[in-house]
Amino acid sequence: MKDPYSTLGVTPQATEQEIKAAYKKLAKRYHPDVTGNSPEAAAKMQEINAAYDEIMHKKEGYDPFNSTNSNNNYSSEDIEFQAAYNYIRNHRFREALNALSGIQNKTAKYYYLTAVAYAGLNDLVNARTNAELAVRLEPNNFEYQSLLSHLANGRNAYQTRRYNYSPASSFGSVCLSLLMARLCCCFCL
Amino acid sequence: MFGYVQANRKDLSEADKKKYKSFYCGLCRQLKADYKKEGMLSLSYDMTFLTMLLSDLYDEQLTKQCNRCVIHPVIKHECTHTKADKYTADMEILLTFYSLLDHQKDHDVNQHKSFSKQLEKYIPELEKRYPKQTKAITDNLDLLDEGEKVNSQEPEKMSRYFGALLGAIFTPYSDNWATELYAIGEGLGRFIYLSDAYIDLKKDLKKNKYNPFKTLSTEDNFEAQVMDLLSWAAADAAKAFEYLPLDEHCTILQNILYSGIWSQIEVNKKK
Repeated sequence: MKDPYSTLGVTPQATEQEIKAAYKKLAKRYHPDVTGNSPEAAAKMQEINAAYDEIMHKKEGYDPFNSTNSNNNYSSEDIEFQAAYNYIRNHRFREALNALSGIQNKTAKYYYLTAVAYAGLNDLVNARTNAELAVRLEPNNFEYQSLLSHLANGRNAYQTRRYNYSPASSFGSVCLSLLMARLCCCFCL
Repeated sequence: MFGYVQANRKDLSEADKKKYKSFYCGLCRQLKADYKKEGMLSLSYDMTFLTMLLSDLYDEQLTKQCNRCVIHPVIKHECTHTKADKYTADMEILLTFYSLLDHQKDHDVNQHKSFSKQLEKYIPELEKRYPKQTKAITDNLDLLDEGEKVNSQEPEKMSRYFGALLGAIFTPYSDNWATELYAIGEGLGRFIYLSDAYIDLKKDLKKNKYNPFKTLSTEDNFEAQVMDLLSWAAADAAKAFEYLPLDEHCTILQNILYSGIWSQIEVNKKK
């Protein structure tokens, strides 16, 4: 596959903002409204989307089983998890969950992998529940702890940004109140 | 429809306020065009959020008009139309209809009966066009009903049903962005359900009605636990949002996600 950075025309050091701007510029160029549903443009869009996904996932910084990770050599006891590992490594998270669902022995590792797969699917509630179970079973495992704290990052970032706004406590929308008045009137009719 | 997903206007620039309102008016006009008066009565800010999100994400062309309307008869104002209006207007009608129905069933009352009757004629066509969304709405409202019947005291579990409902509404296409859009809807859905339950708690206790927080509310750190659940829901939605390539309406959408959605909770706290 082509290098995702050159597809979008950005450097690996580009900020999230720059990546999004570069993506938008290309997406507008190959938009169906502009190109009239041409198959070439659709193929190009697919390539651009894949590049965006790849770069954004890297930016997220948490990719436990990427190919350069040295912790990748799992011992024979992990044989039953091998299929799940492989799916996760290839970002096929649904298949990973499927493979995991066949495992009877629910160890800490089982919950950990399940959590990683759910996180990949953006189902963060299930990701957290499973990561917590993994940590509870093996409290000293660094890998499990770092997953759990990675999952909490999103919330900490959210809280920080939330407090940059003034307290959101007044409505005062004339538009809305008039509409409500109208609503009442209609029910009276 | 729920009124939770709206902006914190104090922190919007004048230009953004105008833009936000013009999308709201655009949706209102679409509802009026497709569903007449009944449509306008279903109008909500929640769906304005979805309109702006979809229109930014899919780089839809905006058509601006300046006109007067029934609600603003005197001053001419800007009104923005986009392709997403059509979809969000349809969703608004589906949601309004099924929540009215659900409300009537739950409370065994004829409240808003004439309104749901007026909407009913549009439903078969909408169900045919949006089978996935219809199924998500009816299935999850049923699951919520079952939970209420057995007096479920698991607020997060209950909130996930509503999350699944709104997640489906937020995904018009099964394309590259479906996972993130679903996650935004899912998080907001949980947030709406939990906020609603929290705000209604006092009333429900007094009237001896169902509320998922009844058991939890007897615990010392109840408030903190609710805020925790709400923060997770909002943060999950925000995380998926930040992943998407958006550039046109970002400040407004972020204002809603990071601040506006807390308005009703904060108003309630002051009481």
